[in-house]
Amino acid sequence: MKRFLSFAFGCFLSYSAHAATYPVDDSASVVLSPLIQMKWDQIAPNGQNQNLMRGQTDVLVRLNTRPFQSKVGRVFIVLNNQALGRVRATWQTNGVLFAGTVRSGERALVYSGPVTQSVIEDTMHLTIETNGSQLERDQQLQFSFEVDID
Amino acid sequence: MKKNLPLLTAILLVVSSGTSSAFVATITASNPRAVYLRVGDGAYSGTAAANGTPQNLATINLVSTVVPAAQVGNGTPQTMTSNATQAQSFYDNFAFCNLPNEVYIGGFYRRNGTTGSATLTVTAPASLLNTQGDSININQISWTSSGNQDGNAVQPIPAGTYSSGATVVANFPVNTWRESCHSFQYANSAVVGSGDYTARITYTLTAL
Repeated sequence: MKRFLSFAFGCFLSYSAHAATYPVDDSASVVLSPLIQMKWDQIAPNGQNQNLMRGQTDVLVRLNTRPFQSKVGRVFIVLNNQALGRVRATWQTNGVLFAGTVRSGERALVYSGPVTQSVIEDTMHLTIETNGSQLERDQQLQFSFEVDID
Repeated sequence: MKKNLPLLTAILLVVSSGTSSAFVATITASNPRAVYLRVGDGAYSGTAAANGTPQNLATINLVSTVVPAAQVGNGTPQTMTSNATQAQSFYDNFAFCNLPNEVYIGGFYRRNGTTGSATLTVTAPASLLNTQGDSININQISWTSSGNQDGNAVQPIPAGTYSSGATVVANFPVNTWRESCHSFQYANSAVVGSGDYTARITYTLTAL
């Protein structure tokens, strides 16, 4: 009886560990210019996209992937919803992570395949765009990472 | 029971080891405020529609009329003309005004946010003066407002009459371009001595 209960409990826990999205520790990442200076895309108001503001910074991304080593998964960057409205982040990388675009409230794929390293490192050259008419005060953008494990 | 405990403990530790964090960047509006005003001739590198750059121009245009002696003070308004040379709007290079009867006046107010406006103020002396000290009340000068292809649309910088001191004549809402063409006239309702009567009118666009 005791042996049967232990085996059944072990099987239940194993199924739960492989069926979810997990947060990825990026606490070692560094934002080189954490206060991003947003400037008008158009000097004068002139119609289409007239209130677009744009700014840039670099992020040294370090993802602790040790818990997922030897697994196959997809790593995503997540940008939280913002009170000021739509924010779009676009980035280029040095090749380890995918380049891409993410909008506030969404996530975007940055890595796919076997996780062979305990740490994934790359530099993101980040460009932020938002509606300047909504940017009356400084706004904090929170980026995080998560992984879907196959 | 004791033999199974180590396996249970190890599984629980794996499930709970996923820590979450985020990197944070703060966005801030950099030098977001600007005003630009042009009255008569002005300067702009390109156009606003093509993301050109506003420029400074020191030129002060002249609006004038000559009243024949036989008509002085007869109450018939006299159309005034200007020496401005630019009819095009710097917004998109459209020929918005008709020279020499119309003077272009326009510009923009830029800032982050959705509230507030810039104020267009006209500052005038009490009178036009000649070298003999004779005067014509400044309220003898008035203007109408229009713009090519605007039809009967309400002009953002409406018609008016000069008055002594500073007078607010228009507001430019935040993140808008505003422009009109002004045609000036002299009321000619008073008999005055001969001579050249002049006054300097100053237009100022201000945002707090």
